Amino acid sequence: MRIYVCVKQVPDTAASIRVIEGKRIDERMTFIINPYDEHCLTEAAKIRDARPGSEVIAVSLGGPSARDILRSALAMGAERSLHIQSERPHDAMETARILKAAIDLDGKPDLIFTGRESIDSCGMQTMFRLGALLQIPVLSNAVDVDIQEGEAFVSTEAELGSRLQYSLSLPCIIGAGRGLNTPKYPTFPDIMKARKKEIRTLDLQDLRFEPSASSMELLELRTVAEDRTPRPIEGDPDTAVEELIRILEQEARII
Amino acid sequence: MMQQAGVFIEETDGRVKDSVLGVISYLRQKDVACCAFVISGSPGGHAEQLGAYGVHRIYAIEFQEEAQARNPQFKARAVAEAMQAAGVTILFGQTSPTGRDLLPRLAALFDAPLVMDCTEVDLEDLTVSTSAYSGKTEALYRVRGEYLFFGMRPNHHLKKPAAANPELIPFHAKHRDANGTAFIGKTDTADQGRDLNEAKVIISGGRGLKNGENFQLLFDCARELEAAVGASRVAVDEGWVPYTMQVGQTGLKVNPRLYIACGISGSVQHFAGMKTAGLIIAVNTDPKAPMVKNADYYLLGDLFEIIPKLTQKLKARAVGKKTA
Repeated sequence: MRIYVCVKQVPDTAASIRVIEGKRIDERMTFIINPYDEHCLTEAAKIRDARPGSEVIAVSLGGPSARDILRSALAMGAERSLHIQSERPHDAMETARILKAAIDLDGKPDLIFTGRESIDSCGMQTMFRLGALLQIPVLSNAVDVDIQEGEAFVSTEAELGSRLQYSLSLPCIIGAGRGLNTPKYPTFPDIMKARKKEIRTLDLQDLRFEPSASSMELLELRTVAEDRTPRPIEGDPDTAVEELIRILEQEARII
Repeated sequence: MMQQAGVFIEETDGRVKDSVLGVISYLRQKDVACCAFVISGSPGGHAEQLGAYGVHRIYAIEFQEEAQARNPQFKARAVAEAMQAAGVTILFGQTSPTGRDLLPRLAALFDAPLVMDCTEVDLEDLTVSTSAYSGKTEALYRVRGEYLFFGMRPNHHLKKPAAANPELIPFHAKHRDANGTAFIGKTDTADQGRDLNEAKVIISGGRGLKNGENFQLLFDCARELEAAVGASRVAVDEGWVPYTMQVGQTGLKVNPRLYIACGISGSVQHFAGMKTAGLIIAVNTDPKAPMVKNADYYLLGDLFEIIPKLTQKLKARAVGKKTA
């Protein structure tokens, strides 16, 4: 089985974001692998290990930070990886086309994993666009995956924590939710081994795709002001709770 | 000519969700004529409720077989067909579990732009505001395309009634190809709490709760407040409560009018899921906790004393009101 895992570099969630020229962020910070993609890699490795002769290929689009996180993906179990080099931003329509072109160039997928969303831009759509381009079925927010002959049984999480069960014909695309598994983080030997694994570099010019007639263009990015001024609710517990109730009634107006 | 947009209707307990009525009210205030798309077993396509909020037309989508209504692929195809029949090229939905599946499928079908977690959409100059980088920034996008899709942030716009007399149009979906996707079944979780996405009030617990049993204190208080109960990642990772209760970066992003954080230190990741709440109240023993420093109100105290007292006083109040 050939399993592709699309991974994305995202700013470390704890880092503060500095906006430059009102349009982009200062990238001098730590980038991490998108947390949902760690679930993808863990699941892909598990499926691969149960099927001798299978391989996991990590794919990422971006600048040098994309290359760094591909190294992490290799340490988390991918055999090899594809780095599509690009320094400019791409909208969701274009990203899906680029990923499809890169996968087409590399081989025929049996299964593709993506995270259910990236935690930076939260578009939540790349997997569906990739599925439409490849004309294969897609499900996102998967919390359970069972691969059988020619078929994937997938549970997704829906409203109020209910679960929906589906079967998808292979090849298919699965967007990993957080409940899918507990990510298996690399050990020191894994990291050492990853250094010797292949990162195949692809240039955008080498990829063939028809541009979309639609577009999404970022016009402006601005920092959200943290404008809450904390006020204390004081007094002994009884007084404090009375004051709390007053706030619920008169300010929050919920009782 | 008055501009026209579609709204995909989500329901809960056989009623249209308040958050969807909020989106309809928002569009109406912008002088946009709303066309509702309903996939529902309930006859009448919610005409009465949707009419009360100013919807002009309702497409009540019906399937050839009942099972198709549960297949996301059929659902998306059916809404696409109905949009074309209605001459609607702009569709609004919600950033909810339903919207997260349906809207990207539609956007992919039409190769059209989609922005999720929208707060404001300007249909004149086609710009849209959304959050980015864990809510630390706000992004403004311009979208271009023959079709446009928007997933609104739930509860960002509140519902406001305005009566209309909608035309109800039954629509029969024709699409027959499941595209390799088959629906097998549905399992409901045992804990049927309130929907965190829809909740006006959320009371959440973190490390300070110490174990799963103690969450009962929050559930008891939530009953009095008609609130949903949430949790921090720590509480979920410790196995105290299910993942479905997690608020934060890798959990649910919620937008209630009131958020009460009990024993939650307040990591950046937790704030990413609740920072848009109307009012934030922190109950914590640690005056240095980021939750305390970024709340509107903080109560420095032992939640094991404060929360039961609050529950008790709210109960007494409710009884007092009834007898009064």
